[in-house]
Amino acid sequence: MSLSVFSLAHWALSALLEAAILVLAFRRRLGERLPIFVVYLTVLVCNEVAAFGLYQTVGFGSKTFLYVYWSTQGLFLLLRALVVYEICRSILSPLEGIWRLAKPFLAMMGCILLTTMLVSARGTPLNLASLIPPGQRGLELIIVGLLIAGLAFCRYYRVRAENYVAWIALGLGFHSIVQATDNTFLPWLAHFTLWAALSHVSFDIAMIMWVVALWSPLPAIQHSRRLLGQDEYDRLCPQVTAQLRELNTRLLEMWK
Amino acid sequence: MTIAIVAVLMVAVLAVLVWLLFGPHRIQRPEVRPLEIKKLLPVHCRHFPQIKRILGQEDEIFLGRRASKHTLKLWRKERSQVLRLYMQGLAEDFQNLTELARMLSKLSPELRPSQELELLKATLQFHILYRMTMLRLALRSLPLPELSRLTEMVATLGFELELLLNKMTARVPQAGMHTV
Repeated sequence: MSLSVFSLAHWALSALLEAAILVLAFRRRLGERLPIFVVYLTVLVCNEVAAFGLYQTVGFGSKTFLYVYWSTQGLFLLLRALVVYEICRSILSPLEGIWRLAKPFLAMMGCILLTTMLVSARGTPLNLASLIPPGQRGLELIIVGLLIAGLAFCRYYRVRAENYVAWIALGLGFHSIVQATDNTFLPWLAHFTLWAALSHVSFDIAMIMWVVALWSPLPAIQHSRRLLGQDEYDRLCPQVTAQLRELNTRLLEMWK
Repeated sequence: MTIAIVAVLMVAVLAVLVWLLFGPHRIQRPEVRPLEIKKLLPVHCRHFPQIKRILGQEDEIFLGRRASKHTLKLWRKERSQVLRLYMQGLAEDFQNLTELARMLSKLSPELRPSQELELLKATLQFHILYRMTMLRLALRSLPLPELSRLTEMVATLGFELELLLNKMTARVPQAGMHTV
């Protein structure tokens, strides 16, 4: 089974766009800020090359292609979840106390969503075709849930995400929301082409959002304000107070 | 039907995501500079004794005997206006206090989850009670217990934050005292 010319052209365009985003990410030195996202982009580009090679060798309809495709989808889901964690960390980690508070909250949230997904998937027949839609939907919802929880933390503490981080997060969230919806609709619509088209279009839109994120140069890195230790304060405060008093005495003498 | 519900739900989730990422943040008051954070401490709740007095029945009974119906009506209208302004003042006080609490949390290297949860709970309680009191006021009722509870909430939070601020600022002169 081979793909239509339109599908092949779309595949090629998507791969080119992925490569362009990766080049942009390297140009903007995004690896210093969001390394996992850059790894995700790199894996995406490498996957396109490998998938095309596999398509040429075994064809689109073969079992090997199916297993490889879904394995890589699993890897991408994991990487996207890690990117969400990285985004939350990049926004909140400059505020040490808040990040320490957010970490266990996000972990707990992830566990709750995972348990909900496993409970809802109970009773699903143990075959690939039945397991993939609810599994993928559940995992995408975990990603969206974690992203929203992390961003709610930021909003509560009035922490603003940099523009490029916001666009990257929106791309990830948008793709996950559409994927979850798509997988929810699949059993009702039972239309594989529509399901695949929605999935591809949502990813294309997400990529456009990432291009927007990386189009302009990134703002300079703002290093977090590190507070001195208690000992340092105890040592410095008397010195500063003494110097201020000395200055005050001198000024008073000048006025006399 | 189910498809429509799922679609609406997902659009709502997407809207929440967009709002969280790009929604306008409340602009900080320009008149409060970092060294003037005590300006955020409550001011309106101190007028509660006067407010409590106008909520009492004595004035109304007195006016009912001496003033015309028109004057009494006008007085009630103005009382309701005063109460509304007082409520807005309380809301402003509470808003300032929560901003101050968040500012302190942002600076703190270690946060106590119970304390943060307490603040979140208090914020929710305040907002619900505030709306209910405003509704009662609109229905021409005199919400004395609610007003006193709102005032108490603002005063308690203000007191706790003031204590915390004093504890933080007390360290500097203490450290200076050791050397001189």
